[in-house]
Amino acid sequence: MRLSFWGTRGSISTPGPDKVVYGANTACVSVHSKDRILILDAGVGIVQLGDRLLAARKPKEPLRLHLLLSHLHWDHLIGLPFFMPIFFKNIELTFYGRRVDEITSATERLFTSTYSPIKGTENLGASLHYREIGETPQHIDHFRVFTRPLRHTARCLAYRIEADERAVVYASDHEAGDPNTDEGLISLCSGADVLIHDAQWTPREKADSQGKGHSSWADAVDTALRAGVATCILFHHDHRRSDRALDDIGRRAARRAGDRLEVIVARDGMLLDP
Amino acid sequence: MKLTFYGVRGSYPISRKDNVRYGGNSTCMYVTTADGSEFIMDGGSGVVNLGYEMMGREFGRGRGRATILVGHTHWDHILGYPFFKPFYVPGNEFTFVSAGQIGLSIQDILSGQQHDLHFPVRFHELAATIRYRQIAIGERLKLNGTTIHTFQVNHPGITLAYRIEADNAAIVIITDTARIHAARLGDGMGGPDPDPAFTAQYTEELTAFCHGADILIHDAHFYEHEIQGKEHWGHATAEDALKLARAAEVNTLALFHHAPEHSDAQVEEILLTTQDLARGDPLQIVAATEGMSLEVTEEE
Repeated sequence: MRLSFWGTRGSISTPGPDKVVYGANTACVSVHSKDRILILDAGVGIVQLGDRLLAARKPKEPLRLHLLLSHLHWDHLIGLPFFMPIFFKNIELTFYGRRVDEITSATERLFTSTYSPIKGTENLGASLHYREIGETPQHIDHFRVFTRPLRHTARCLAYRIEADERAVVYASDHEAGDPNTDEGLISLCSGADVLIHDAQWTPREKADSQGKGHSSWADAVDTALRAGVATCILFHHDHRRSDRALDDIGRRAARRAGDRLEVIVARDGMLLDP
Repeated sequence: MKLTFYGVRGSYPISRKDNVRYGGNSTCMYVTTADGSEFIMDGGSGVVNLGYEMMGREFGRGRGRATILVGHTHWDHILGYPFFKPFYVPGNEFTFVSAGQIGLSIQDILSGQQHDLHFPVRFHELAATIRYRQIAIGERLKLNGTTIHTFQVNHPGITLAYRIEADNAAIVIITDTARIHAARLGDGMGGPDPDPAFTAQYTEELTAFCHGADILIHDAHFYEHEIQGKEHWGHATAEDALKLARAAEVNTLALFHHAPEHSDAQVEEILLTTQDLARGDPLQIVAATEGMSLEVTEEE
């Protein structure tokens, strides 16, 4: 299994000279196993993934893509209008999420003439499909996919993806602190290798941001320690956080984790083979 | 009158190691006049950074006032508004100037962007006082000492160019437009070319609209070789911008709406090529850069 991080920020992409190392693209991660791929979220990072997929594709070769959506806030969708595979025939894109009606209305809003020169999803080349995903484990391609609800300002899902005898959990937008939800997430992480976890805030910022639906890097580390995963990826960085500040967070988080847990601060373009 | 660029990139904000110099934020400009009036053109991701700066002034204390000029409402021009901090401070006052889109007002459009599914705060719940001035295409309005003219340009949907006149100076902003010979207002992609009489009239009117401006900010999204087959996508080249700048006898041309795929080296190449073409012209040409300010001082 290979993980590719295309976008690792939350809220909105505001690139700048102080965000070059970690990047500023919003959430998108792809999970690869042999020649198969699952995509997690469609923030701005998905644009570069799309270009890569097309470059690797033989002309007119059919391609089946699966996009798992944690929720429908813009930082998890806004890259889709520039995800080039969506313009090609012979490409099938299936969206997965909590509710088909909500995902459908979100994609229609993305491409409607008010906001987009494409003027409607009917003008896209790819065929779009929508599937609901609940807590019953599902096979998608040759991946096994499990979900649990997270605590956020919108209904949001965590995903566990298994392939090649590896398991990764993606918990992008989540405010730690509700015992039931936290237990659910920890049980989803059982025996997993990697936990990708919301780390929007510093602990001090989190104290002033109750109810805003995000965790601190310390919450991410603590959850990973409780769940017993090998690697914790700090994800969904505040859109203003500088490279220097993220370096500092990485050092503090590693100290908190001690020897039992590897902590990595996610950055755009990062690859990881669990 | 002073104009500062906060976002110069078209299509979407993009973070890459090779586009840091010109900047990766999507469209936003900020204009101030001698009488203290403030204008924001476009709410791409650049408006977020502008907002943080404004919070350090009277907007942080709920005593700021600005007019927001809406060219059009594709994502790259509006996606920053939900993260514009001065909207969250009670007491601040903003007026959106917009022609909306067909059948939709700017309130409808921005409320749609802040639908529950997509953002945790609804647009009508913002703390600042927000007013709307729905204008007709081509309308001209007077706001204190500033005169604003509008002109519909060729880009899918309703897209307005603005001419801002104050302090005896004029700035024209055309963020997105197809090249003139592909003129087809309000639609854009696909379909046959319009008849030559329409193109001639459009060209004449657009040139008059820009005439004598101190600064022309113009779409320069494509290289010449890239626009082939995409003439109707609603974007132009630097050569198109130069042609209009010459015909309209403007002083400064700022190339704008850099393609997200273009690196700093490519934007610079486009700039140098255009400057070469204009050698000997009394015309200054720059590539819009995040943080760059252009100032037009009043002539005595």
